[in-house]
Amino acid sequence: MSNVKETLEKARSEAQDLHKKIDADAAKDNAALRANVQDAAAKAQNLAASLKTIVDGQRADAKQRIADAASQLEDAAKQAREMASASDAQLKERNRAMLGKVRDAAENLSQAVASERAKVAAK
Amino acid sequence: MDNYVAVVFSNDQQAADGLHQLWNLDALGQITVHGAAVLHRDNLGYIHLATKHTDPGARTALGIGLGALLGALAGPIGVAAGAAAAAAGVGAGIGAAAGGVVGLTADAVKSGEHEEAAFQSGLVIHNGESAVVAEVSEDWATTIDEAMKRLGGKVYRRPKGTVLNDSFTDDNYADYLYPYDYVPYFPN
Repeated sequence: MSNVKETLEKARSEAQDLHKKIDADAAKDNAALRANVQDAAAKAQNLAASLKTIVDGQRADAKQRIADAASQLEDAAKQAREMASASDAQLKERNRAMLGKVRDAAENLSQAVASERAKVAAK
Repeated sequence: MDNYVAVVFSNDQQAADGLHQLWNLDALGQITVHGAAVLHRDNLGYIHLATKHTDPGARTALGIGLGALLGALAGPIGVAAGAAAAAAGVGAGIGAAAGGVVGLTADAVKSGEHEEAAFQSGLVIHNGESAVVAEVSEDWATTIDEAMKRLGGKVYRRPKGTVLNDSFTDDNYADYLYPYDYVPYFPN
């Protein structure tokens, strides 16, 4: 039980950190943004993969939240990869779209954490 | 229960302390904060969002949504005001305009002219005051209420479902709130 909660809390924290990183990158120039985005893509992809390993065994509500978060992180990674070929004009917009996906993933993981905390508190 | 809360303080520093305290409660597992932001109403009635120091460019977009969210938190009358403000404003002024109109609405609520809205929430942000707006999951209202009272804050809350039902957009407001603690910064 506590392992599930700890795993979810860690995943949520990683999604929050990823949001911070992408948000900070948005303020940088295009060259720095292009250089940093592939790291963000890798982090998003890795986090999505780790979420898929904990989906099974969750309650239905948390399960859907985690699955949605994984899907949103994969979308974010895809956005990041596409930024490699994006024009300078498209770059900031694509970064904002990626930020939105990670924000949605963090929200879903936060809801899953709340669900797990409520379950533990009710015991 | 999933709620939107607004905690009103008399100044920016107290609001920043309130923001950090919300996230401390989250770290302790007593509540779960899904997102939060600090805002300030200036002496002319305009609402300003405190961003992270690194992203002042996001202020306009965030201001639009937070103006609408404040309206939704104020109750049905506030929702109408938020919609009117969003329709009227463009560019950098829209967030401020939305906040200003919402502020007026909130004052009207306080005056007792709109009892229905007062029943829903009664959110009031006077000129010169600051507030933390957050989406939280909480089992008991007393956890946040008591912590914020110790810091000098007054808590207003509405269930998330009610706010979304009253909303004039399909927005769930999550994009306007930071999903983690931050140091609030008001660009001059």
